[in-house]
Amino acid sequence: MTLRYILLSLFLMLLAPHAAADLVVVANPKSGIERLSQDEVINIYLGRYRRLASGITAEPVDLPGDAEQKLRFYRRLVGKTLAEINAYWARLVFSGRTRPPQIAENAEAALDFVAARPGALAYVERTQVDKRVRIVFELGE
Amino acid sequence: MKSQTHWWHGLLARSLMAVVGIALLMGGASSVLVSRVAGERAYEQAMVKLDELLDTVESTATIAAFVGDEQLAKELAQGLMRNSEVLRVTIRGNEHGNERELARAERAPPSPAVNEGSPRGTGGMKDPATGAESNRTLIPSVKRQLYSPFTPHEAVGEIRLDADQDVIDARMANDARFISLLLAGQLALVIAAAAAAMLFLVVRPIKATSDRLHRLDAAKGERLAVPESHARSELGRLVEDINNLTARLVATIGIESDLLRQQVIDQRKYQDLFENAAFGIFVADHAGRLESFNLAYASLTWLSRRKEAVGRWLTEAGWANPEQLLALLRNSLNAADNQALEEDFLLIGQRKDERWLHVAVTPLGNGSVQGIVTDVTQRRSEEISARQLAVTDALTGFANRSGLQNALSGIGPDTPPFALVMIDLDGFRRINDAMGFQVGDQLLMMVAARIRKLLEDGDRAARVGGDEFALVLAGERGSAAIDLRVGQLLQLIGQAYDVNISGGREEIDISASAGIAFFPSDGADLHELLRSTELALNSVQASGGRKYCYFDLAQQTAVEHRRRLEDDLRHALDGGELHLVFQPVVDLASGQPVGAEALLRWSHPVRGLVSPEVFIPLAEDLGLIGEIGLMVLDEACRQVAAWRKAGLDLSVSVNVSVRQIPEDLPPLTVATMLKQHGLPPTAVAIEITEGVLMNNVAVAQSWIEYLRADGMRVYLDDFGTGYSSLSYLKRFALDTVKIDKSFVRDMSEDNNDRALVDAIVTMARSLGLQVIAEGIETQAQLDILRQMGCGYGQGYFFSKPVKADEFVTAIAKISAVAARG
Repeated sequence: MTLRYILLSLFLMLLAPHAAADLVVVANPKSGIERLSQDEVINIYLGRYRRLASGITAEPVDLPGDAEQKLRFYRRLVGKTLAEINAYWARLVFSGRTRPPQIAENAEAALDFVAARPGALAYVERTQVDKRVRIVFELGE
Repeated sequence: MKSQTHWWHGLLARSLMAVVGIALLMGGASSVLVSRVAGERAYEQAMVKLDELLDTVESTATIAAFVGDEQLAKELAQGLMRNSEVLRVTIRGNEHGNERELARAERAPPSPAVNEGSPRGTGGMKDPATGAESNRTLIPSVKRQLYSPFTPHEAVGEIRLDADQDVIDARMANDARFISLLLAGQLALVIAAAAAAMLFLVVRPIKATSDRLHRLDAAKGERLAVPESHARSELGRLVEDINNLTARLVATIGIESDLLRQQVIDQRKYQDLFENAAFGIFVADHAGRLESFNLAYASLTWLSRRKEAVGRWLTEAGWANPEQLLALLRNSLNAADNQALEEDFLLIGQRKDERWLHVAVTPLGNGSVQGIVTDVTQRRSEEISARQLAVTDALTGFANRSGLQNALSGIGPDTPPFALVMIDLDGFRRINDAMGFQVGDQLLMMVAARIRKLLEDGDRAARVGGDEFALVLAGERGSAAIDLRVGQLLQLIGQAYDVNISGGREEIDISASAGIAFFPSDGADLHELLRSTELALNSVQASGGRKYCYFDLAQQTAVEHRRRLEDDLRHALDGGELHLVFQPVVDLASGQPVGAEALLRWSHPVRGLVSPEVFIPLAEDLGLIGEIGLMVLDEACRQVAAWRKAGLDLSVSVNVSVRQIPEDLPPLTVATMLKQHGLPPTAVAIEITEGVLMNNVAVAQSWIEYLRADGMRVYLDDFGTGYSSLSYLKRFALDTVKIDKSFVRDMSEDNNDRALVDAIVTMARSLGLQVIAEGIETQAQLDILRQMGCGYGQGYFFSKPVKADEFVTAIAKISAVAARG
């Protein structure tokens, strides 16, 4: 039983690079950030803190509307639906103290934004990652 | 009835006061309870409200705390403050471990005047976050930890709501007031209802009944009406009871007045009785002051017949002992149980004439006594003469036994010595029986006259029994005077009497005996002296009478010895001390034993063997001989039956006393006893002495004939010692004569005795009688008897008398000797 479970895990790991649904959070290499914890990603994306450990102001980038990746990202990160995330922001917006992340048109635009600004963060498919950005957090499958 | 009646004494007022009091008490208690409950409920409601408020704002507060948004928190807090119960809202955030207050909203404190009793402590006196206030611990507050909306275990802050106590208090007071008002209203209604019920159900009917009772005239037979619809209530019963009581009272009063009327009549009747009574009646107080008396009293006491009792005294009459009469009155008054007391009083008239009055007094219960007086002079004089008679012998005029007792009752150590002489007329009873008591009485009077002739001053004479006279003569033991006087007395009494018998005169000779005892040596009182003289007299009479004898101690000792022996004999009979021994009777020709003579023995536990010559006469005197005789016969029968059963063909002879014949040993009893033991009549023989034959010839003859008719044998015992009359042998149907051992014993030496025995044997043979020789002790005697042709014999030569269990051995030995010879 245990052996079969281990074998299955190994098989899945071998397959992993080929999986299409593997989201990662990327940052500008100049951000001075190597890794982010899940809590840090949550705090930044949900507006609690907007400052990275290196002292740079974080600029998270979100995807528009009902993008499939956005849905998956929030589900993986905090286990919430987009409606819940929207309702969350709706309450905060009125006080004006914090704002929701900026919206990029698509993953490409997001990657460009990250490559351009040192404090920017975005989430993309692992397959979309290029050399301009650094993976600081993997949401996994 | 005159005591003031106030409104508060009324039934209605009192019950209402009680109801109001209880209602107030209950109202007070319940209002306290209500306020307590209302307070608790208000507190709980506030808590629930706060909790619900928190529920509605929790998610927003969480978000505000998560992002540390003070603006959002503030809006939230202000929103909460719109609830009147909320006094204060505090929202705190927790960012990277840094606690910080995000928002705080608070109601402005009310005016101090209102808040005096309950300081709120919200003016910053204490850290509001703790919410702790010294004396308002009850202030409800709700605190809730806030967690991150995204990582559920990360605390990001807290929210706290404090309730406004004043609001709660106010609501509570409102509630309490409302409930109290409700309660008060209910109570008022209940009191009103109770009052109305009391008034209509109880007070009005009672009042009405009471008014009617006031106007009621029971004597006219009026009765109370039962109030409407109260026929079965307590009130109805009360009215019934009052009516019943009234009826009984009326009846009782009626009876009472009847009684009173009857009493008046009775009184009149008793007044007549009182006045005309044959016996005297008086009423007097303890001192003897007369209150009233009747005519009979006046005449009995020889008083003037003046009617007025006032100032008259009981003691006016000539009482011989007035003090005693007054004492009787006092005793009667002091007696515990109203006892009537009575006594006879002697009244002595002016001319010294005497009158005995019997006075019976009874206390009347008011300190005075009623006395009944009757004339008992007649009875008293009769009593006196009767008392005289009681101590006097009517025939001789001497004192009787009681008189003698009276005369000697006072003797003691100081009394000078005297002699008591008891004289008894020998054979007086025979004369009395033969010639009639008239002759006896004449004789006694003459004897008394002769005795009286010899009496001196200071002597006393008494007739103490039918023919017994007792004389008390002054003098000491051994004095010649007593000897002389008693001798003279007996000599004088012994002279012939000229007696009148049925018209003719006849001369009678009678002698007297006398026993003499002395005071004080022979007896300390009359009783002992009389007994001593009786003993002395008995010894004179035993030796033929006609003499006198002084009492001596030996007589008494002998008497006592005999009495003890008598007691022992009675005891022996019950205790089995009497038993039989058997002496074998041998056929002299063959030398073989053929039977035995049963002899009675008494083994006294102290004295050892007592001779039958001593105890048989004793038993005869005591009347025990019948019982003993039966026992002997029964035991002998039992024994001979046992031997016969064992194959020994024996017969037993039993001695019978003259006293047993005929009543104590009826032939029928003998026959029955033999039958009971299953014996033929020949197995047991009866031995009688010549005394039996001589005593009453006719009776003895028929008794013997009865026995013989039954087939039994009768022996004549001790032949030769008495009259040994040949005529007896012919006259009585006898079987056997037993030659007395005194002849047999002396036979060998004395030719006379030998000749006598020879004659008896020869004579008996010629009459067809058997002969048994008693007391054979030697071979020589045996030889002589054999030679004479004597049939049977017994004696120590063969065997002494032996006990039943040794008897068989004894006869075996005799048989053995016979076989050898």
